[in-house]
Amino acid sequence: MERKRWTSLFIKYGEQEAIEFFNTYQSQVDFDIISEPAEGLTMIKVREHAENSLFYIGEMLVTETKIRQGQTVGLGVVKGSNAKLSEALSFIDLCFKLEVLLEALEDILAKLELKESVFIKSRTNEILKTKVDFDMMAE
Amino acid sequence: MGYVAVKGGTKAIQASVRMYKDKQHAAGYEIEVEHIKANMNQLINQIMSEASLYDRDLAALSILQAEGNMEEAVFLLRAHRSTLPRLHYSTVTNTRDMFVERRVSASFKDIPGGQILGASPDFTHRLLDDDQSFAGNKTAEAYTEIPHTHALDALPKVIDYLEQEGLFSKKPEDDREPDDITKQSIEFPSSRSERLQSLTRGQTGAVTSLGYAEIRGYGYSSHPNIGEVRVGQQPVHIDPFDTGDAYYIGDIELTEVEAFMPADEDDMDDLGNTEKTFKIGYGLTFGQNETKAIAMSVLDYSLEHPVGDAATSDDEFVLLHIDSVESTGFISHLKLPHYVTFQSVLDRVRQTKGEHGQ
Repeated sequence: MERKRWTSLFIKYGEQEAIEFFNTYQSQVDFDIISEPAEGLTMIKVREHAENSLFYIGEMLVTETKIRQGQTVGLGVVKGSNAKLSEALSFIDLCFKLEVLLEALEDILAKLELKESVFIKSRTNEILKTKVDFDMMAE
Repeated sequence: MGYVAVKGGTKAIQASVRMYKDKQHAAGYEIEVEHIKANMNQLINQIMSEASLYDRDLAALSILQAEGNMEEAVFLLRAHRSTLPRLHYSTVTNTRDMFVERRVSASFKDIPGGQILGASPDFTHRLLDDDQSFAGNKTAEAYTEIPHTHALDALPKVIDYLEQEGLFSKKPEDDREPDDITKQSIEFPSSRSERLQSLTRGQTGAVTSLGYAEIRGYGYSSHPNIGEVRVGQQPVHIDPFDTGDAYYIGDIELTEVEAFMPADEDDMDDLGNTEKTFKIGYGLTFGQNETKAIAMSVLDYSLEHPVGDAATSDDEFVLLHIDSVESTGFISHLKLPHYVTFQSVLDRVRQTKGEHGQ
């Protein structure tokens, strides 16, 4: 699974699952902490659609954790002040890179994909209730 | 009269701070940051946008600490921002990936995906209602799936429709690195990226007022047509190891506006014939800030296509006066001691009077 995809699933739908995974398996993987969870900023670059150029809209607060095993670095970055999730994500990133505990991760991610599909379906339906029905206006 | 440095305000200042804190808590009860987060969304949106820092918790804390004084809250948030390291730059964020929660067009009734009103105060009565209690009106409704043709994170843009009609020419992607006004002060004439960054963090009232002035006749003087206002959740990614396998780090709420402006200058087609087309004024802000985003789109167009010596086409005039911290900071500093500089003015006036009296 692409990193973009699994980070999205854990951050949006699986914060508790990520933290539980870290608590359960951290003793099974050797790692050193490069940097403890710490707050910082990410500058957001956007593409505008008038001239199709780039500009910076502003920064967002993030929490970052870095760990490593040898030369392999596990990185956990998440919006806002969230040390526990950042720490758990750095561990999961390291696991994916080292290709360990993949089965356990894939089980969790499969459940999160289901959770996501239920959420998106329900949220989409809720939003579409506010869609204007012009046919109805003409009746 | 000679200049004598003095001190002696320390005790008075300490007492003033105590009195200010006492006044803050005079009612005997306090609201929590969580209350502000839960009930003052629009205020949080405005503060985050003007502070140029997206974090709802910090924005709520700044509002509480500033007693609801917006300029002070923005100042606090900007000051806090300056204490934090910048760890990452995002990959290019494109609003075509936004999970749209509201999208309306004032130009076309039938747009692909439809007019989605979302959550908006536009349709509420502007009458004070003393019953602000939460009605808990989430009554259980039978689930009926609403058919739709487009996923909300893949809604086509209204400008695509104009482009298909040959009424708007999309520019090729310009991937030049943007300037960053938080790293280097704006230089004039400003670049497009400096203008957009400055407008999006401008004070809401100032941006709105200048946008209004521009339409009324102090600039381009034309009524723009809003092609699209979209509000939604925008995913942000980073790729610190430059591998192309990016990390998702969270969603932020954005408001985007594309305003159609009939172009004064004609475009040239492949055969060398001139033809009338539309140009776009662009607005994008943190949070749901629709009025500001619309005004930003008006000012963007005005600065990109200057008209004579109109004030709203003058980038130095617009960009240097819309920043909340700079403008309120300068104005409010006027009440601080200016004893020495004023003494000098006073001396000159006294001297002139003396000369005239001789």
